[in-house]
Amino acid sequence: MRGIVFTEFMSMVSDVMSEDMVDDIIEDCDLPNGGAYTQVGTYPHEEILALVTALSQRSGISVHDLCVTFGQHLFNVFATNYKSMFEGYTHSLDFLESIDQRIHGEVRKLYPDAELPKFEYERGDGTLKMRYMSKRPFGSLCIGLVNGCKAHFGDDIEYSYVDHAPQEGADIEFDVRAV
Amino acid sequence: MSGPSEPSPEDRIKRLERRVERERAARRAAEQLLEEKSTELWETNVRLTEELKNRELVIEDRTRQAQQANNAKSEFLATMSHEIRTPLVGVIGMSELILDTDLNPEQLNYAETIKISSHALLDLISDILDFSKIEAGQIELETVPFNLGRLIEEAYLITGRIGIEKGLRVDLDLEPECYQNFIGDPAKLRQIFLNLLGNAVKFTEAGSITIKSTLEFDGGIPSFVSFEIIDTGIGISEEAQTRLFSAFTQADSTMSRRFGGSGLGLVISKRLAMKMGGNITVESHLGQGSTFLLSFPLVHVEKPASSEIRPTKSNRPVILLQPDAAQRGLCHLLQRSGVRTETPVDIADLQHAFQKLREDFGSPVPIAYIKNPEDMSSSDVFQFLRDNAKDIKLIASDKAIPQSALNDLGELAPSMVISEPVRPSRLLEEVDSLEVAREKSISDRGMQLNILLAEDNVINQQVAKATLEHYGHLVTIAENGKVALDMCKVTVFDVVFMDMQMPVMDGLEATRRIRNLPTYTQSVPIIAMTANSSTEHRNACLEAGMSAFIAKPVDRHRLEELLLDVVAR
Repeated sequence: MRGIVFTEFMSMVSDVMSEDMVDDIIEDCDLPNGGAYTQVGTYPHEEILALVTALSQRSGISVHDLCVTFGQHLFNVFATNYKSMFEGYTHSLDFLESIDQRIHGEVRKLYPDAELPKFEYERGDGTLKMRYMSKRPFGSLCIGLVNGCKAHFGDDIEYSYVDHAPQEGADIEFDVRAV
Repeated sequence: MSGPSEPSPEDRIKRLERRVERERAARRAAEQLLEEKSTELWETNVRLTEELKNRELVIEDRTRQAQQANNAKSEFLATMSHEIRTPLVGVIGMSELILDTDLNPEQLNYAETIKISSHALLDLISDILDFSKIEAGQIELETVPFNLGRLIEEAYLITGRIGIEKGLRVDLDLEPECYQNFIGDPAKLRQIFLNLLGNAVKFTEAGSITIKSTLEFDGGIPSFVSFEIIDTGIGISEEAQTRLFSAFTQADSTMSRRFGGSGLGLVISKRLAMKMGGNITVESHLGQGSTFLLSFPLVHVEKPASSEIRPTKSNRPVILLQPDAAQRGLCHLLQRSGVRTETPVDIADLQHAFQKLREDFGSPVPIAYIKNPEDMSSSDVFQFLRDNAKDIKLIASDKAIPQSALNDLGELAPSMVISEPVRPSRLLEEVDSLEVAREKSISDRGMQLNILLAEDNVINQQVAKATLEHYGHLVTIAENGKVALDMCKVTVFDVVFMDMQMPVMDGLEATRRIRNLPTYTQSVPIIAMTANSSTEHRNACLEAGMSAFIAKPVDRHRLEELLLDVVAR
């Protein structure tokens, strides 16, 4: 998993809760690198899961809710750091539809070994069916990212989703429509 | 969400120390990653540079190979074309000689076919040779004076005749200033006109072909000319127009099967025109015909030339009989050159014009009878001509008065019969000077020349000898330059024809030595027979003392013209 997910998670916990909470959850997880994450590194995804779980235990907030919140935060970070990726888009539906081709296309150029989730799309008139499939259990994070997208573009969309909740990984079907 | 109890100061310090250690570790990791990325980047850069260099080498190599292949191709084409021409010249010459013998109709047909086929083959080879020269950048343009109008008329006569046989209306409409002398390459221009007019005739089944000039002037002197060659033929689709000027393509590939030809003609013409600083473009609609536009700058000859068409001496009149729509160019040129031209449409009109001109200019009144105007029948015209026979000077086209009718005309016999298509300048000259007798060939005048022919190739010897003897001349053959020189020492020939490449002594050397003989001053024409038409070659010939050139294969009519010309000098 890309280092930016770790560093942004730490900075969110530090901002929203406290620096000490960051220390505590790192201690709880007994991480191989002692929690020394950098934005440009790559780390096992199990570590972020361990950190989220530790935070959930200490804060009493569910893992799902934490992931959704983090997803929303992460979207804002992307929108600030990678402005060029957002150029030419004014609607959530168009942007979501472009993730697989355009955004992940660019990611692959920079990190040829990145393991990216799969997307399937079905575009209708003012609607978008989007299926998100990953080998990792980040369905909730994806929901948070969709929320972040809606907030970023500020357009009137609503969505429902069906979580197929597979044994391993994630498989969620979103049904997004413009209101 | 702070912890349940406040930590002790020691715990606080330990926590901060761990935090600092974590940050350091993160920084080290980041720096190491950065270092690895930089190294990777550097290595990639080195690899890319090398790859680029290799590719450049490969491209250079391939370009050189392609260039070499292209040069080899051009050279091969040029050599092959030249090698094929030589025996072909023999075939053409021999077939022409056979045609002069007594043949039964079947043999005549075979011999004609041999002649036509070998000419077609020669044209094709010439095209390929021209194209390979253009490709190799070896085309040089001549800069000699020539009469533009007459040059176009020549091409018009050749192609127009074929058009008329197909039932087409052909019209040459040139401004009088076209008949001035300009500096340029007449052979290449003739080639362009023959190609454009030839195409127009080839691809037009019905209707008309018109050639029109538009001159631009600079200080009263023609400086630029555009010719429109307008046909009502099959036309060219927009898509095909884009391929029209590319080598080895015709408008579509079925064309070459239907119409023949190498597909090189237009490409060559366009490149030649561009070399002259001009261009050829096309406007066409499928099924409606095509207009080719040829334009190029003109370089005017300073001194006025003898063949220039100037305003006629006096305000001469002529009655021009032809349908209103046909050959407007004739009427235009006459009028623009100051000839009072009447174009009556019916018999009453004709009577009236005739009376008027007889009153104003006296008798006889010239009448140019080209074709029947729409509202006059042949019998009407003949009746009128008979009634006024003694007051008329008649110029007639061979279409207006067929050969068979000529003998029955008696007193009315035309002073001049010109064949269709009528050259505008020819008609103008006739009107201008009705006294000039019909042009006679040398043989008609019974002039016999004593000719020396220096040529080593036996077939060429026979062809040239038979051709010259056909016109009634005496021919002596020398098989090389040395023999020719020896003969010249004892005999003063009227004309010497000189091949260039001969064993023992070549044509240039022989000419130089002959010119050194006291009896062979410039008054005796030495004519080079050569397949090499480059400017350098021509200059070498002139320097050696030659008077004129005739290209191989020798065209019989060119030969006769040339003899008329050199003898007249």
